[in-house]
Amino acid sequence: MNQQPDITNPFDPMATWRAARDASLESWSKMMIEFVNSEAYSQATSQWLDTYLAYSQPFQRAIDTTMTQVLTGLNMPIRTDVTILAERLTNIEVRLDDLDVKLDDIQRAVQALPTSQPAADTNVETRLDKLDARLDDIQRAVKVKALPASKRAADTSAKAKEVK
Amino acid sequence: MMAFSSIPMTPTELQSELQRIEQETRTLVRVSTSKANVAQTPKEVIWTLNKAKLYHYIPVVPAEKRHKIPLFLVFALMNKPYILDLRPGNSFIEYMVKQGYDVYLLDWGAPGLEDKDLNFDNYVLDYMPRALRKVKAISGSDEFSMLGWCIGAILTTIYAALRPDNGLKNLILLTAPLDFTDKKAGGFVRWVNDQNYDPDKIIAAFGNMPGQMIDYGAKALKPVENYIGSYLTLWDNLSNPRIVESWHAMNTWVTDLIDMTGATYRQLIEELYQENRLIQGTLTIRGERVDLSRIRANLLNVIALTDHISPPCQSESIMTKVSSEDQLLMKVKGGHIGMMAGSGALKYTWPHIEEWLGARSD
Repeated sequence: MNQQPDITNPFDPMATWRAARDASLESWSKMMIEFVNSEAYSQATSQWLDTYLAYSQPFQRAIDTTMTQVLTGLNMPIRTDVTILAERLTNIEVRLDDLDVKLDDIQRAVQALPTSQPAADTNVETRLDKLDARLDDIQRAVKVKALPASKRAADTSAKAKEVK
Repeated sequence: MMAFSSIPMTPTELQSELQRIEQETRTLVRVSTSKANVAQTPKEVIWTLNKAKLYHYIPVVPAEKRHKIPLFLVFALMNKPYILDLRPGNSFIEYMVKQGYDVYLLDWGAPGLEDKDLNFDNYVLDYMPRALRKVKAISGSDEFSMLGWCIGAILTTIYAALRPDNGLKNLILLTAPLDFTDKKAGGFVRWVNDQNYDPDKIIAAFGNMPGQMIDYGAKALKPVENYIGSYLTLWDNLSNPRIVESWHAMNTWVTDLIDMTGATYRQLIEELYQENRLIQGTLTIRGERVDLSRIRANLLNVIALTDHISPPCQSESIMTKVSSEDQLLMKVKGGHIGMMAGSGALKYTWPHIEEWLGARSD
């Protein structure tokens, strides 16, 4: 990528400077590569990291504890709550993907059926309708699960009243 | 370069020099404070799961002239995959689409703390099979070619060994760090084998392996080039738009860091870099032993001659471990990234990969 300096022009002081700079950088680079590949550098880096983690962790833990107490006091979600929620969403996504796979399989199976058998077609259509209805049920269940507990309780009691 | 290229003699020359310096200063500020427009090859998202996305690139070659077998790309976990589609004219994906391939790219996304327990088992046995199922459904082909780069090559190798009968026809590995027998080959393997280096402590502290730490490690392998040389290259070529735009795009990618999930990092360091389980045949993924001899797909193993991140000795030995009858070890000019995204890639790497794959994609 680097353009070669114009070393053909002896009156250009910049070209001479660039050539000298590049030469010194090259030797410096070789020296540094040898250094970072040495046992001494490996040990020093590991020890530095070990020390950094040992000394920084108590402070980090103190900050985490304080933040947890403050957020809990303010009745706000802490990091763990958000993480758990994200994990649950991922699990739902995985299950939806599984359903997607099954639907694709069904679609392929339907397409593979011979078209000259109307009775069989009707049967498959009925099964697809049933499957569709089950998927709707699952979707509703997922929506309900995603609602906050208080809202869910309110919905349940409302339904109970309707039943009465 | 942003200095007097020759001493200005007349007021007109002086004015012209000042204008040039002003222009180059603007360029310098722009490229060092903004993101380049990257990943421009037209595509659509065809599948998502958690943070992962599967892209399908819009074909530009008529269907009857396209290769029948789709190409599935898997990049590393700790950098963004758009290095494969850096910018128009310097994009491997754009090149392959123009050559008539049906190209799919798996983007792992940026993991959060909630993903800290994701490991190779999840990536290989949960994400990849689902993404490949979609590739097969969209392309209409039961067979596929798979290209893995860096850690992506580890994932594709493990997948190829665990699921050899799932339609994998061609396997392309780029700068694959697979064999860590030589504990002194390169900085990474040496550093992580130090007795004081404990990945568990890092994971306990951060949850995931921070992208900044991985970046520091990668840059520290060639400190002068990465911390000084790269910026001098820009400084010297500020009047050359082609080089400036190329630098800008590469700098955008280099600084676009993502974390690696804690469980994956632990597995990578302990089971691969330290215990060398993959090449020894003792690695297990969700209870299944990864037996490299089960790989029967046609194999192209591309090694960069000046790769300082995955030295050639880490990539070569797989050739003797697989059962592929059709296999080729290709050594190309360049480094770990430059081999595929540098200015010489279009000449020294892409045509060779395309030629090999083209003969096996119909």
